Amino acid sequence: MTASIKLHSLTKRYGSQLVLDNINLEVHPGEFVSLVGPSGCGKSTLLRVIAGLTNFDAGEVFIGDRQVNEVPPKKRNIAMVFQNYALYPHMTVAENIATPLLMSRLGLLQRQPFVGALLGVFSTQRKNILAQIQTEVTNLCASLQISNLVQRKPAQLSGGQRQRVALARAMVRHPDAFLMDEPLSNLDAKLRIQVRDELADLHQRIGSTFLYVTHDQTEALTLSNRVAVMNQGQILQIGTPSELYESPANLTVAKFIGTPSMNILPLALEGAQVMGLPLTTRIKPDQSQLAIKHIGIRPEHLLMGSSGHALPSEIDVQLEATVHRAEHHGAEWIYILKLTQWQGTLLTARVSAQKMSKPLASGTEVLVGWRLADLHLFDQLGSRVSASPLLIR
Amino acid sequence: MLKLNQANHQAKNENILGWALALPASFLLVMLYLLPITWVILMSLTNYELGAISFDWVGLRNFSKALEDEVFLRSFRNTFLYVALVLPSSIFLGLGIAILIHARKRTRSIYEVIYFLPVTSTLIAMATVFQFLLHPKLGPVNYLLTSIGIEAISFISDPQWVIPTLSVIGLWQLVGFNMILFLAGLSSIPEELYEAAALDGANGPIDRFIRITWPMLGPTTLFVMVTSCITSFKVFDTVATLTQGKSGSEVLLYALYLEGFQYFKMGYAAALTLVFLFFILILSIVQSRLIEKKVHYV
Repeated sequence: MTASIKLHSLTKRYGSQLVLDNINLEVHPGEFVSLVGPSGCGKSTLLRVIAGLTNFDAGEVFIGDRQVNEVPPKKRNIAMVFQNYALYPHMTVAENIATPLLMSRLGLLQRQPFVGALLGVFSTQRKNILAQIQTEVTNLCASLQISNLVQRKPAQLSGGQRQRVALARAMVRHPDAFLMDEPLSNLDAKLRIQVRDELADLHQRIGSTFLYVTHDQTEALTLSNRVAVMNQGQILQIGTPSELYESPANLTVAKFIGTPSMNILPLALEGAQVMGLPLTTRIKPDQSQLAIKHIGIRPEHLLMGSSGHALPSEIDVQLEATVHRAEHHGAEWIYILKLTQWQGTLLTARVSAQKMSKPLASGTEVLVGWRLADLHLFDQLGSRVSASPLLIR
Repeated sequence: MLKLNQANHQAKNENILGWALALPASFLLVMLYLLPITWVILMSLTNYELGAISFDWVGLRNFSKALEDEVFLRSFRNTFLYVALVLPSSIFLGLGIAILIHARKRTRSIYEVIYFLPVTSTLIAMATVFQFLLHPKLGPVNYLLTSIGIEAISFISDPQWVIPTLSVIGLWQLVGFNMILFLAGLSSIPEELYEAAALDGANGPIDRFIRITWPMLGPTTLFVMVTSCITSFKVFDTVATLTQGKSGSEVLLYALYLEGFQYFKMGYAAALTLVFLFFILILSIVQSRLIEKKVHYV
């Protein structure tokens, strides 16, 4: 019933532009996988390729064990929820939800208006099928709490209600997998969180395979078992949300995952000095230091202390800075700090509001520091350099 | 009390200002629309003839005369037959061509221009072409018919054939216009609906058309229906140029033209004009009512 989705060396071009560049991906049965990336990265195209709505140039698509390269969309037994829901505006909610069942259970003539009814005069079979569809639609609407809407047209529904009807239409024929193309992007912020939770519940309840496209990393991280980060037609990294957050495979992923994003500092090597940072002495001389081009540090790994009082000794790097801007985010404060050294580079620090005796005004002089173990190191190509063996105390 | 007076005064001033501002538009409205119509209504109650020195009020006698007028009744029947032939064929042909052209990518604009040509061409000029094409002895159409063993048909002078022939010419002229309207309607159907339908299993041409295209074109179809109805109701130029009303081919507007401008019976022509306007009015009311009735979707 619930199936895996496998993509093997999938490639697609628009003219000379590579939209999908040798994509390999496996979504296990019952897994919730998100495709996340900036707009234009190819994530929606990938979804449409799996649905069979777009053709591709090379590679293979498997749903379950079946290669579906040449299989038309309706025979792939997958459902898709579109960004704009794509509800049929001239049909009621009930008719919208019943459409996939009508299409699969009635013959070409039986399902047409007038002709079908005319044929129905001669057979009770059609009547039975229609009654069965009616029951299934009613039950599904009840379980999604949209029973009161069945007679309305999509134009009379709110965004959240449309979203639910679209889900119902997708669920009604129990597909092998669900494909969702930014289903929450048309909802307002509050509703988005509510529907997001409902989606998570739904996935737990029906245990089906979900492949979910979004540009919102929070959605991806909160909903998914695994997240695939895409950029420029490639999957940069696929892993659990914590893997992506704690050890991003490259600079792009590091910058993309996490809000506020990771502080990325370029290491322009001037001889043995690293722009005045006491970093060189701590990196093993025999490792190829030149390979490290950028360092990254998460905002929550920055420690702040008042100027003049040294930070605890396990903080390896301690720098002077001034508060450039302070943002109150409820439970936490985000500080934008300007380093005194290093040409006034800006760093973002995140501090739990509970830990602060009183918020710091902009202009305040502070000490900021971090532990070398918390650093993320990236080489010239932007790939992650395993941090721990490089660092010595 | 003083305040109240002041407010009253102000309201009065605003009232006067409002009327003053509405005056130019009202004047034009009366001069351009209401007065001519009133004039026609009054004239329809007289036996006025162009150039006559005096006229009599004849009440509704012009209308009762129309009911016994063989020519008028024939023109009435002809017009309705013409509408009945042109309306459905121009809608379905326009829709069919629009669907076929819509699927074209590169050649679409070429087809659009070709089908739209008859709309822009003047029928007076094209009438000579049709006269030649349909000529019983010289025309290629009859040459084709006789070459496959069918007797030549006098399309324009045979009373049996004349209205269907005029209908085909009307169709030729109208179909391109309807096609453009349907093309606009087709372009406004979101592609996502077809994609959703493809996943739902409705991806054959019949299902696509019946489930999505046809219902989504509802508002367009209604508009096309009413405008085509009015256009074909107003048929005049083909009759005036090709048949001059011979062989029993009079239509409403042509009968009206004959009475007014050939026989100068202005009173009678005015009565016929009112009959004609009555039908156009009904069509317009139907149109605005149906369009108000939300046949379109958000």
